[in-house]
Amino acid sequence: MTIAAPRRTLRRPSPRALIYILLSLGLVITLAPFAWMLLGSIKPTGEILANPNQWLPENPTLSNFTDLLAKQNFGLYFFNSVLVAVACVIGNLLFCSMAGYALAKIDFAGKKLLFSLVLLMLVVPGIATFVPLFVQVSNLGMANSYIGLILPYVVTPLGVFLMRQFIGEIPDSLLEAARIDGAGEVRIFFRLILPLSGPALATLAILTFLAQWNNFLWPLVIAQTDDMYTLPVALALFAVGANGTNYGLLLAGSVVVVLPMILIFLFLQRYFIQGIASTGIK
Amino acid sequence: MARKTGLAALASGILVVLALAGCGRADTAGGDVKAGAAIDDSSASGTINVWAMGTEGELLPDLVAEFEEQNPDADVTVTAVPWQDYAKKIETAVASGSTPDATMIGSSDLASFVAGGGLDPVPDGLVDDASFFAGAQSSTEIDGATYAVPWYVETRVLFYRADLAKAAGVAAPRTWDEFDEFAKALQGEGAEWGFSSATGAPYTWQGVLPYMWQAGAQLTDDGLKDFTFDTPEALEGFERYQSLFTSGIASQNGPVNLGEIEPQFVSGAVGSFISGPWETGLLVQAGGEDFLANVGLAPIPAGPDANTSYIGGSHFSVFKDAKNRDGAWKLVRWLSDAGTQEKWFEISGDLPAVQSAWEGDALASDPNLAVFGEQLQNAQNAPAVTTWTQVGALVDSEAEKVAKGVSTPEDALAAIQSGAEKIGTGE
Amino acid sequence: MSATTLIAPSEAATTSPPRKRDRAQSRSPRRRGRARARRTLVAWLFCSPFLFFFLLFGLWPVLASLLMSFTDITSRDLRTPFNVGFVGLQNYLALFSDDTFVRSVLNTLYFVVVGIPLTMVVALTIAVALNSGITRLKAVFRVGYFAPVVTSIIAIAVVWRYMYQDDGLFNAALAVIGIDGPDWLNDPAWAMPALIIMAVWRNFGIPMVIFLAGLQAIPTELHEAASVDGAGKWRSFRSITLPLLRPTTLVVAVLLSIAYLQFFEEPFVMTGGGPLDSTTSIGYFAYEQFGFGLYGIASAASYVLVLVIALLSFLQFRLFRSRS
Repeated sequence: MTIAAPRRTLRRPSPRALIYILLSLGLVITLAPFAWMLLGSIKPTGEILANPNQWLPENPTLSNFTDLLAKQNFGLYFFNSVLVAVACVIGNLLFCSMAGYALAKIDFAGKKLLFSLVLLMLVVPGIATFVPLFVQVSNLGMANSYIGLILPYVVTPLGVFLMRQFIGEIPDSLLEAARIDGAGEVRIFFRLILPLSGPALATLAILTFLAQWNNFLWPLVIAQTDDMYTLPVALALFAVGANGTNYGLLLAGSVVVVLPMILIFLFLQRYFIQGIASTGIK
Repeated sequence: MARKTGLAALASGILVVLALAGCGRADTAGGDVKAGAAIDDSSASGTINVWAMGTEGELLPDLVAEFEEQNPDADVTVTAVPWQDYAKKIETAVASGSTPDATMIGSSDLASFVAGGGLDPVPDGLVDDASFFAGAQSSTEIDGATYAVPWYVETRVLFYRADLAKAAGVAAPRTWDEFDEFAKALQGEGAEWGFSSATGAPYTWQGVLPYMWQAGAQLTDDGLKDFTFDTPEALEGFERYQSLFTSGIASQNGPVNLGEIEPQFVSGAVGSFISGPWETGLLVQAGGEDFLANVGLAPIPAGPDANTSYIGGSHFSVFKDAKNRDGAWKLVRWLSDAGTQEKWFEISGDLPAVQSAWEGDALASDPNLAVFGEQLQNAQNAPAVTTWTQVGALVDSEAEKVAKGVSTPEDALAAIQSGAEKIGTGE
Repeated sequence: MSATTLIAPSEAATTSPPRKRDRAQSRSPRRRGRARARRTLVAWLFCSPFLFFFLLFGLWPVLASLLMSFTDITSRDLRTPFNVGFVGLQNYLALFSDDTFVRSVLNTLYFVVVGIPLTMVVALTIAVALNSGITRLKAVFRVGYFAPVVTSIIAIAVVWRYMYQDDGLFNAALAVIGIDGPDWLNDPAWAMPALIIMAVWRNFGIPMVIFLAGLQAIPTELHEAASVDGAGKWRSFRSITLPLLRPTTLVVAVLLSIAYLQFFEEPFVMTGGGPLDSTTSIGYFAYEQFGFGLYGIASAASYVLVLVIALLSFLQFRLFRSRS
């Protein structure tokens, strides 16, 4: 991990101590609801809902987790979620950066039209297109399949927008130099653009993974049998009833859902820094 | 693709319409729907795909195993569907023609699905309509045809803190007036609120309409063509609802989310509320098994006319696009058999929609269930019109204004009536 | 000095001037034409995978739903789409004569106008603090501050409702400094601020990370030079950091605008749009209309939202461009 050189202007110790104190204070406030969720997942439902509420469990229990994991097919739902999210991340990273590169660095006929369309699509709320999209996917024979789960989200206008903005900032001189060396566009893209786009790709990966990992409505309607369910659908099935919610199961499930996201972020934040370091050197 | 009801048709259809701008909606009057071929008594065969929601979906395979034994050639595949947004799942499935064979449907949602045109009317003679509780059966009859077979029912009764009532020396109330004294007595024993009612959260109407029924109101005409909220009876009911808040019995800020009321009831902040058969399980979760000793159940207190409660529950419907229509209806028929209904009660605790199933030991012996059984004799369903979801939401929002004191029952009722007229009954 | 920022507004709007490189390239018009044709081919090839899925699953459903907004289509027409009637702008007119919808537009604007700046200030403040040369625990802070982003809202709604109770955590904290806090979620005046605070908490993580990336790309020599010139920290932040962060700020603003204008989840899990419609947003309104099966009206509500977002994004682009 490369970290930027320490700054001289900020070396005096007293403000730094202050910063630590403020950051820690802010962190405690930020993490309080999160901590409540973690602690709640090992409480019996009665304690989760008790009013007044206590932070620490009186009778800690793992039964929420064991109940959840004992549900039929739980492993399969987890696998489905991972498969869908990862496939969408790969699709977005590759296809959106390709399109983003063309839109940012190549001057071509139809560019403005294409980018305007992307911008327009960026702002259409998903719920509006929901029914036509379902009918479309279903007509293509993709209902109740992994491709039906994945393909509608394998590229996003947001991905193209982000990649275009980031790639646009890579200096043209680098590209010119590569072109003079005889590199073709494909080579430039894979050897120059992608390695320089680390932070952008990391951002897009996180946003895409997050969106797909939490997506509820689409997997719900596209799955005709329960072996196509993803985690949020399964969690809603087990924990949210018509007349009551099993909060113990819900919190335990949420913890299970959140952990992979935290891991992904831990892993990807290094790429932010690496990517920044590499562009910063130039 | 075999079916072309999809986007291509949808979009080109709209395009054609746009091109012919002005050509109106073809008149597709309801009421002339004919039920399909009758279902014989031979055994079912083939795969039968079924959707069922929530816990019911998780438990149904245990029940249908027996059906598969009796019909060796049939194979029932149950897919458990979350309650959350299940309506969108059914709607989109109908739109694309990719439905299962049969599905469970919440009783108050049925009418809106009928409007979608995806449900097969119940074949003549499949079941005996009179065997079900009247409120359950009438919620399956929409636009002159029957679209579902009742499966299980629920109705709402009064849950109260028996310990507080005992301390105050009051018995379960039977009338509105008795109820007011009862609730005040609970408050005298330390309850902050004698009663709790929804004040605008989704489905508040399920708590408001019964007061109108109890005052003798009929909210539609007999043919379900027009709404009739503008009656003195409906007003009396709405005023009754308002009085709960003005008299200080109930909080103007009722529960908004599921799971809010139980802790308040367990802590004693709320002395009583109205809920359904699932509530016992939730109270055990919130207060432990011992807490049930402090819980009393009683039928709804009566208004000037009756002590009508709300009846809900779930039905089974078969889709028009079913690949195994015959098998699906046979399964539904079997599910509504009194013996099956008793077994289902033992598996799930869901109350049978078939009245004769209540005579069995399992149901007859439980005093709490007897309260529900009694109340079911006097329980009404929401008006079975295709637009009810929308009208119900309107009632929710006007009831909120009344509860919070920013509107009067007169004004709110007038707003409901004119809004409901505008929305129409879907006819 | 190059590559000072990662995110560029340089051609943010669609009207970017032709690049110098293109003008300077070949002298022969024919060769230039051929080169451009070749570039066009290559560019479209690069775009083709995206384009394929985009047209199939993006543009096509959007066109269909846009058309729906001009018809009286409801859920009952889905099997018989030829039955729908063209109603022109009637859905849109009906929307603006609906008090609840007008209220939802105002609520959405309230949420956006207060929520976006607040989120950006919080995100930038934390990013600056994280970037101020601290080394120890940096990763812990980063992950910790990011945690709310990945938290499931249904699960977290429970604890937020506790915190907002009349005798909850918030009011206990306010009582310490002598303020008698409101009954947040039941007070029509305070329910929206309560949801805004919750939304800021849930959403500042990603802007924080993007700001952090932007900040780390600013060369330290600039601040050192300013410091030598005698400029204070605040002055140096205002005259060096902020201007150089403008492109980053633009992307953050656009991302937040898109997310916040679709404001839906918080009222959905916390207030049900109440009390007295004070937290009903356009997104919530549209969701309800879809629930009623009124696809025409619901689509129209969605496209009002699109118009608002498009207008706002356009203004943001203009605002940031004219200043740079």
